[in-house]
Amino acid sequence: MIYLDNAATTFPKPESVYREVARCMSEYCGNPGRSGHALSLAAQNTVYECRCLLSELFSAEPENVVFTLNTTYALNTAIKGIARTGDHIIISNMEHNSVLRPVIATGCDYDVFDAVKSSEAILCDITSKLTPRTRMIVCTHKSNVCPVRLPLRAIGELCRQRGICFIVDAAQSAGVYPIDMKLCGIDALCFPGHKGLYGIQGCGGVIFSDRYKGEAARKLHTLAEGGSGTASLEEAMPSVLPERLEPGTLPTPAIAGLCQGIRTITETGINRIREHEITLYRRMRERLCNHDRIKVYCPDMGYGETLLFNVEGMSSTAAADKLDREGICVRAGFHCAPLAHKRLGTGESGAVRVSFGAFNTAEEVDIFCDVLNKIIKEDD
Amino acid sequence: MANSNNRCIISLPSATYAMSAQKLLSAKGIASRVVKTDPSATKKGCSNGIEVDCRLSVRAKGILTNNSIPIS
Repeated sequence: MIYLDNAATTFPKPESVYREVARCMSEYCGNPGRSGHALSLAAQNTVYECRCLLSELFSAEPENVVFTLNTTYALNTAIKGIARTGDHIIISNMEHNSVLRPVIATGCDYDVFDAVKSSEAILCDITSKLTPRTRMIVCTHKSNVCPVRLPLRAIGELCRQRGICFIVDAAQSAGVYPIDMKLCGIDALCFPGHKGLYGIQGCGGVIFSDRYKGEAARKLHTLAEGGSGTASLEEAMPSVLPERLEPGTLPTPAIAGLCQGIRTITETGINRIREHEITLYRRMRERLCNHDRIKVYCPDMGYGETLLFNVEGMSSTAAADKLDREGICVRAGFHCAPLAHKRLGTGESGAVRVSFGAFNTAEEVDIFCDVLNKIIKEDD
Repeated sequence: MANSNNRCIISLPSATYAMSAQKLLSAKGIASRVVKTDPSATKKGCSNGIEVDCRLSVRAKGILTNNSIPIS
């Protein structure tokens, strides 16, 4: 099998991740933060270690790392935690439904800026949409559909100047690109554990800036309420992060796996992994662009790990299905990003997405291209 | 609050802050232990803290305060 759906979830994981998840489950899977006994404290140590690793990776504080089920829950936690009735929100047209839907659900007015432009043009577009009621800008760092990446530092600086919250969806970039929350002025960074950080499915998180540290966390509405292992006689959730936004038992095995995933990519070097993926992307793009029945979207972007294409006269689902029969995993359709597909001109039909990971090889790219050529020939 | 072994408890707002406090104090050469504190000691119920040698308690609290770790 050739797995090229790493934007959905990376596969496989490093062997050390599998081993750590299994070790956690058999050796130290107490309930973290709940009891004072050795097993609970061992789990708590691992959870805290993961908070420390994440805070080092993204230049934040461990107390501001909130674990959630996934990036979608992280984005809901941040967006609905910060938004107030009557606010105005700005998002990009590359957003996943995990941004678009919660923004709509807040009932706030929102505007959309075009992310398929130069950094300067993006800033102009955002500036033209600001209103006195603009509470936050929410945008993806890197599209899950095509090789578009947004200028976080410039947008963060604009937010800082205007006193606006900056929420970033790092579903596709966490562990792939360096992200410095302080440098980029990010107030809430939402990440998955199971993609570029190479943990397993079951945990993600949102990291807040010091704007919400300590008692300032009271400003954040809670998305859910429940046990927190602390202040249990009080009716309200604790006033401080992360426990304020972490009701219920945390997924310790997934967090243990995430810890190991972060250690592994840090040892390997995230720049090295990204360069490897970009090399594979370019190799495939070159071959697909030379085929007269294949249209590659955004082919002029020099960087990227996500390649979007369609075969002329073949639906994206049919192409993906034929590839699957040949043992190749890709994803067809709209990738939960309707605004992005509309912008790229694939809003009616969708497209086929190929996304690379650390374990893909040049040989796999060549096999993919040969198989796709064969599929198209058989269709001629 | 001191127990019979002359160990003092410093109450902290959460388990995470207790871990941060332990790490910080360790870096400053003060050994501590993360503990669940007596729920009847506060009106809030279950709470968290660290246990340190009472002779180092004042210094430990100073370090925590200077590093923005809130003491309950």
